[in-house]
Amino acid sequence: MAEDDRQLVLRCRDMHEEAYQELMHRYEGYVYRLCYNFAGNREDALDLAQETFIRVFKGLDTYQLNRAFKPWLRRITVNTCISFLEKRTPPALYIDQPSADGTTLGDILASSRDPAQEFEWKETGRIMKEALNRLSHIYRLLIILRHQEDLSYQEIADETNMPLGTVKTYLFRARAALRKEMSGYYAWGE
Amino acid sequence: MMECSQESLQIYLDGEMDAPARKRMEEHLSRCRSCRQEMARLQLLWLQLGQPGAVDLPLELPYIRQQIIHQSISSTKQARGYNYWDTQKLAWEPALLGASYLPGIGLLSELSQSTLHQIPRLISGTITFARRLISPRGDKKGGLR
Repeated sequence: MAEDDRQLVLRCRDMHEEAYQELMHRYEGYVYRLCYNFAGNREDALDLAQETFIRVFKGLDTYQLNRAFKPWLRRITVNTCISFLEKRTPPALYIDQPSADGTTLGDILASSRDPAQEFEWKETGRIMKEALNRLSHIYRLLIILRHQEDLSYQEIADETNMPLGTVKTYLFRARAALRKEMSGYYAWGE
Repeated sequence: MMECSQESLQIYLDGEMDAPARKRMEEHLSRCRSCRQEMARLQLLWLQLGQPGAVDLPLELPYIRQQIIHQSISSTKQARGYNYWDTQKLAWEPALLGASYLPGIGLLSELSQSTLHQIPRLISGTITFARRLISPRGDKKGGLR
């Protein structure tokens, strides 16, 4: 039976290497994907994931065992991403990221549709991904936390140490920018 | 009476409106065709944003994992006051693990047991041999001084 996170953390505190292996193996995919969606490229995502786990292991003694591990891990990941932004001089607002031809949940859903619809859904996903990559890092981070991690405005404010009003404003602007980008594809009015 | 507002539509879709505001929004939507149209567009965006994109995990992740773990364990040990040799032992563990796969390496322990008393002589003999290689015989009389 798989150990729960709490038991693993306890064994990590006793410096059992297998516990470190297991804990990291369990969450490295989650952390890497979060970092990738934030950074938009593989190299930065790897650096961020690495930095996140170093911080996690360093801070294991401060982790409260009566709380869920994943939100604690996510908070450290988010903080690492924010530190990454602060270190960047000058701050890069836009990055040129070629889109990878990734399969999404939408693709799986689309597999039951006809090929033309499937293609259209994939194409929409690609355009959306490009539009997301043109957003600033901080906007992208908020979009990830809201739409992928399903956090409320208040939870996002807590995770990022941003004022609630700023979270609302940034989210509104980010999605307005995405809507504008997608309006060309869907032939919506402005 | 509520006015058309993009921001309100977003907040509504995010489920962040309190009950009275939500009711006002629904009343407004029932009367405002353009807001209903805009809501449908935003719902499509929300659907797309909620799809997690497939991200391939990099192949070097297990290697990086190993590095992070050893770095973390050794820095924790240092922080807790473990001595230098404990840390060194930990740092060399991956190399020793790799060496354990070399053919015949297991015989070394048997060899050391059977020639236990010979090993110090073997080491000192090796050192003497190495010295001879480095320094010519003539130097014994202080030729290098």
